[in-house]
This record gives sequence, structure tokens and C-alpha cells, in this order.
Amino acid sequence: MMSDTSIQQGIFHASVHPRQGLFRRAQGLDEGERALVALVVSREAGHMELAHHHARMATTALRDPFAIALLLEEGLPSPLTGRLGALATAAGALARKQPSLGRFELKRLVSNGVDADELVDLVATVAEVSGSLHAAVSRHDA
Amino acid sequence: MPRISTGLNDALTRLPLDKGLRKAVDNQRDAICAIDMSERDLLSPERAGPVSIIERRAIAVYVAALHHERELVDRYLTLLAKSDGAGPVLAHVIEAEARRAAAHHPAPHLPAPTSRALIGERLAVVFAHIQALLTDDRRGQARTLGWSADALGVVSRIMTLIIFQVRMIAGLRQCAIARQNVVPLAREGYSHDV
Repeated sequence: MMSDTSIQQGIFHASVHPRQGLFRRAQGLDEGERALVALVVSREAGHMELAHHHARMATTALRDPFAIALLLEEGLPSPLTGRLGALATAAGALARKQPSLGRFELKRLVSNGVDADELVDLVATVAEVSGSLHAAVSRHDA
Repeated sequence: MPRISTGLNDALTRLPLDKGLRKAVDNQRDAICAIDMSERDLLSPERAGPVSIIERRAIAVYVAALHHERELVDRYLTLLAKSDGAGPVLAHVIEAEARRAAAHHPAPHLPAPTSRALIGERLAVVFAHIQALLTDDRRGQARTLGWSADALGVVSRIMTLIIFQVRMIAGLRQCAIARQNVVPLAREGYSHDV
């Protein structure tokens, strides 16, 4: 008999694939880039404590503390250039209440080497962080 | 209760993605199937525990409606209408309430007394709680009369699941639209996926 196993396992079944779930997908962005995307989504939603948490992870993984500190401090529009700037800007666009990703943001991603697998991972990471924001509020209050 | 096969997989299959994006989505097939399994566990469990199956599916309708994702609303309405003890009338009332709340969102909206009597006090309380969670209304979040911590944990997981799916579908839809313009440029050497 099956019970509500999701309570224990989370929405991503770790038993199905060990690399699923936030920061653990097999293809796409690397862990530092996912943490950067999570930082943007959390910050834009006003969850600064969560943004700081993701910033620490991004700093460790990307080894670019200045870029992360700048993004954490200034938010969007992002002062970052290159691939990280493209990812941050696109994450902000996708995290809006009405998600949007314009031609400019996409061209910037493509010209910085973001391929289709990474684009899908970007969307999934934004989705995953957005979905967990209300739970972060509950935990914080508890 | 029969377990109805639905899911994110179907919704993504129907999106008008180009070849490169379609392949990238296919590469995430295991993760997407795992999400569909989670949906079945959350919305069609054999042992419902502290949140009934009708309540679970009503919450799914409500959260999807607040995010204006029509396909998901329709899917969960169908699921709700098929629930033992529910039927199309309850599904219709909940849909109407969800639409009204979505129209007012992020301003709070409480069900009208007539609707409240039909959907029950327990669902009315949790709908208000969901609105409060989505708008960072701390005072509203604390109003959970009749809902245990375990029950609210289930509510939170359903919200996480639905919002994830809403964002995944809407995000990929945006990517597909943007790529209609950019992909021709990519063929000239900008892209790594074609």
C-alpha cells in the first residue's frame, strides 16, 4: 500500500535518481551557477536570508566572491557581465510574477555559451526555488 | 481509488518547443517522471492522512488558478470532480472561488458566505492561508484553525509542486517564444545546441 511518501522524500524522489532535485540535476548548469540563479530568485522575492544562503553556496562553488557580493548587494538590473550576468538577468526575467524572457535576454545567454540543456536547467532552477519560497517563510517563522 | 495518470510530462509535450529545446527537455525525462510520481503521491495517495483527497485536489486547483495556469487548473478540476464524495458541483464552486481569488490576487479575497458554506470552513481557512503565504502576509499565515502541523506540511508540499509546474511550463513557453527569433541567428554560429 502506498502512503504519502512525498512528505518524507520531497517532491523529487531521491530514490529514482540520485542527482535530481535542486543543484543535483545530471545535465545543465553547474552547481555554482544554479546557486547564483537561486540567489537572484530569492533576492527578487525579498527573501534576503535565503538569498544570503544561496550566495554563500555560489561563492564557494564559483570562486568569484566579488561577483556574488555585488549581485547580492545591488540585485537587478545586474551589474555583472559575461555568462554570470546573462544567467542572472535571465533568472530575474523568469522569476517575475508573469515570467518573461525576451529576445535580448536569450541572445545574451546564447552568445555566452548557454546551450539548450542549460536553458532548461535555468528554467527548472527558477521553478524549483520559486516553488520553495513560501516554505522558506514558514520555516523562518517557526 | 483509481490512480489517474497525468502530469508535467504531458503538459511539456504539448508545448510548441523547437527541436533543440525538445531534446533538452527529453534529457530531463527522469526528473520530470519523478515529479509526476510526486504528484500522484500527493494528489492520489491510498492513505490520505491529515488532508483528505478532496482537500488536496481542491488546493491544487486553487494554487494553479492563483497563478493563472489554465491547463493545470483544468487538469486538477477534472481530478477533483472524479474524487469520491466531490463531484462536478463542488469542483465548480471551488473553481469559481479560485477564479475570484486569482482576479483579486495579491489582494486578499475571502469566499462569499454561500461559497463558504458549500466548500466548508476547513477549505476556506486553508485557501486564506495559501493566499497569505503567497503574499508574505505573516498575520494571515498564522490563521490555520483546524489544520495540524502535519496537515500544513502536506499543503506546503502541494503548493511547492504546483508552483514548480506552473513556473516550468510558463518558463519553457517563454523560451520557446524567444527562440523563434533567436534560433536563426544561432545557426550563424552563436548557439551550441543546433
